[in-house]
Amino acid sequence: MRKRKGFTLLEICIGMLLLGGVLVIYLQSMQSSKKKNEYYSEHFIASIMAAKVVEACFQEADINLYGIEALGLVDKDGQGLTFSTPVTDGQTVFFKAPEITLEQHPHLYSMFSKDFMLDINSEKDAKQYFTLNTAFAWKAATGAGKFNFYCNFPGSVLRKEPHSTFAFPEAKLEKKLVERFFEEKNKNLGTIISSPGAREVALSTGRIYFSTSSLLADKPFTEAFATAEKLAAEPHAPTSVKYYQATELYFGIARDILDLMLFLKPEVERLSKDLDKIDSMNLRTKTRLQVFIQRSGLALDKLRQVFLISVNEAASRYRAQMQSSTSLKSQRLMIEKCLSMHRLMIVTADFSDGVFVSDNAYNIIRSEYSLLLATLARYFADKDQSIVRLAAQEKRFADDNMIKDRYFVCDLVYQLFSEIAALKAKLPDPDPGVPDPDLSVIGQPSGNGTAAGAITWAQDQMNGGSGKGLNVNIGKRICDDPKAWNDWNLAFVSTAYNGSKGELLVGSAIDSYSAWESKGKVKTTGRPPAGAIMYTAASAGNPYGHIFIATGKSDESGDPIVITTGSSGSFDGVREMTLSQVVSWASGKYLGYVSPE
Amino acid sequence: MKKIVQNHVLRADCGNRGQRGFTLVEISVVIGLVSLLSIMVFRFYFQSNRAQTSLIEGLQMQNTIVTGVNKVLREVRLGTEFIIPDLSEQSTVLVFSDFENNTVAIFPVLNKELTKEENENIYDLYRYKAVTKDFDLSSPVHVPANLALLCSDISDINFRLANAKSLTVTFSFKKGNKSYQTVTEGALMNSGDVK
Repeated sequence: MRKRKGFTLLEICIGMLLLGGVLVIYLQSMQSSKKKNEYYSEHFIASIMAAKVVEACFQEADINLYGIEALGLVDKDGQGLTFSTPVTDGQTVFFKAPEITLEQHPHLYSMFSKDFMLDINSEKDAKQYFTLNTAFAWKAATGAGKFNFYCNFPGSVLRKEPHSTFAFPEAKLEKKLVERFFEEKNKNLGTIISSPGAREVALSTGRIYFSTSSLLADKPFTEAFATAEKLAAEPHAPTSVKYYQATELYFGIARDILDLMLFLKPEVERLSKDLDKIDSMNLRTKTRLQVFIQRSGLALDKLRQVFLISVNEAASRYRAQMQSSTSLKSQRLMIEKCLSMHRLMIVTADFSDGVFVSDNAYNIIRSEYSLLLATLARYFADKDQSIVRLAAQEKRFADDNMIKDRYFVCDLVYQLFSEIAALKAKLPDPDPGVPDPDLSVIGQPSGNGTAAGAITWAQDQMNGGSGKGLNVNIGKRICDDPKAWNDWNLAFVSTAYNGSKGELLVGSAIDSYSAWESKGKVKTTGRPPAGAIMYTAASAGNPYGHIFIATGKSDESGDPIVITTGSSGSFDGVREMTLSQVVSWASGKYLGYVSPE
Repeated sequence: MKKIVQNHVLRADCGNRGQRGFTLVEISVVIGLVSLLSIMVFRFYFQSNRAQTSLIEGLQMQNTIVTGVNKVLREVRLGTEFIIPDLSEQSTVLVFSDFENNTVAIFPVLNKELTKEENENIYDLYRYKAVTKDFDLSSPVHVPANLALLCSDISDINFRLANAKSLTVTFSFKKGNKSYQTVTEGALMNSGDVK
């Protein structure tokens, strides 16, 4: 029998099984490879989309300090939230323009409609920052898909340590105090004021007085303000270069004043807190210091007014520029500045006395701000949603009185103005007969023809002032030569009135008196008002008589306080003293005064 | 009768050498199995090859997208102000001013060769910079050096302003059987002002 051999059924089955097994493994591997390939594509797209969301967050935070809160990613207390949303068909703010729709983006739509969710988790971190985890999660064919993008954003309540850039010459302060406040030479402050507390008050007063005088007499500063006022009075279109120039000048003035006030904040606080520490000083020193404290308070108050005028002007001008601008970028920049200025106006509305004509400034400022926000929301409704969100958020802040809590500059300005108001309340009321100083004449060679200008200019020639008044007869100024006005009392008063009074353009003080007398203008009764021109008679030692200016103030005994020049036989420079002291020193009897007109 | 005898002789010879031939059925089965195996091996090979090609194409496409998107964003970041499109409008062309006040345009140009291959409009994306100081409006001159290719394989592109400072770009890429769409955002970095 021949032996014939083929495959048995078992062998064939095993062979088929092995072949089938290999086939299944291969198909699974192919399927897995396909799914992974698909997953990598989805992951790649998710990473690009997450970067887009983070960029949108940065853009929101760029125009709005609380942009992340406006987007709803943190709550109003700055605490973290978990935000989860589908991204197709405009279901989230991050994909609204353009929306991901089936018609417009079929590939993106088919991917994102597979249970694709944008998950943003914000977690409050240290140092006022919080971490934003932007994640895309989806139902990938390989299992759960997820892409995370971590980045930090500023927290909702951001506090900064304010720093002033104002450079104060601290090294010369004590010397200046001794020479100008107390009119002493070659002494140190410790020998004049023994109490350390009172000495600190004097130093703070010096810092306030010298820095404010220096700013108010600073030529670029005064010229900037004058130029801004001049340009503002002219009819320039909001799109013109000159209109923009005036706005930037006002903005710069407000910024410079804020910088100075920031430097002065601790000094104002100390002065307000320790004012009673000067009570132990001797009468002469204390009186001198009180004069300068009063002047410092006045200067601070003047700065407050100039600041508020500048902020108000800048706010209304930025608003006009924004409305007239055709450039998108300019509009966006203008919004930031315009809102900043309006916020400052809202928080300082309680301190705006003497600045606005209306008694109802607080309500007017708030209603103007509401109107501005409503206009912004309406205008940008179809253009820029981040501005619409910003306007809505600002309205909430304003309605809930949260502006100063939310913006540290506003809080700082509020604190500064509160301190100034507290100090002002502690200072004695200014004499009603004394006009506000006319700051336009500070640092000028002459007065401007008004009574307030004459007094301010005369005070500016005293110790502590700029001393830039020019005696044209000899071409000298006190800042160059302390004897510049010695024995030139008639020229001094005439220059204070800018040569505007013919009766002062005569040969001597007594001739001037005669000129007024002949017109029946000289009065001998009543208190001389501020700016009154006063005379003492000629005497054997002084054949020309003496002329000086009334400040409108008087001492405790009712003796009028005047400003007079010195002489070669008495003192150098210009001083304030009582009328009795002048009569005694000038050795001629008091003749009377002429009221300024 | 003769045929039977011949067959017998043949078989007798084979049997004598301890060898035997294959029947037709056996040969047919073997050829069938070998063919099946060959088909499977070739199929495995082509599928693997196709999967690998697809993976490489995907990676190439992702590389094209990353490079293209980054190049566009880098150009936009040099800008100071958008000129086209306007807010709330969208455009396939982007025009903006850069920090040297030059006018820069980013625009798609039809790639005829790829369009024929893909049977769909495929574009290359170019950037052209009109240098203001050298540009004479009365006799404009094309400077080839100012033209740069940003990316290829684009089937559609749209520029839309998210706001005055920020731009949203929607790209559609296509190559072979691979299609991608993506949305990205970039901002002007030179605002031109100090806060």
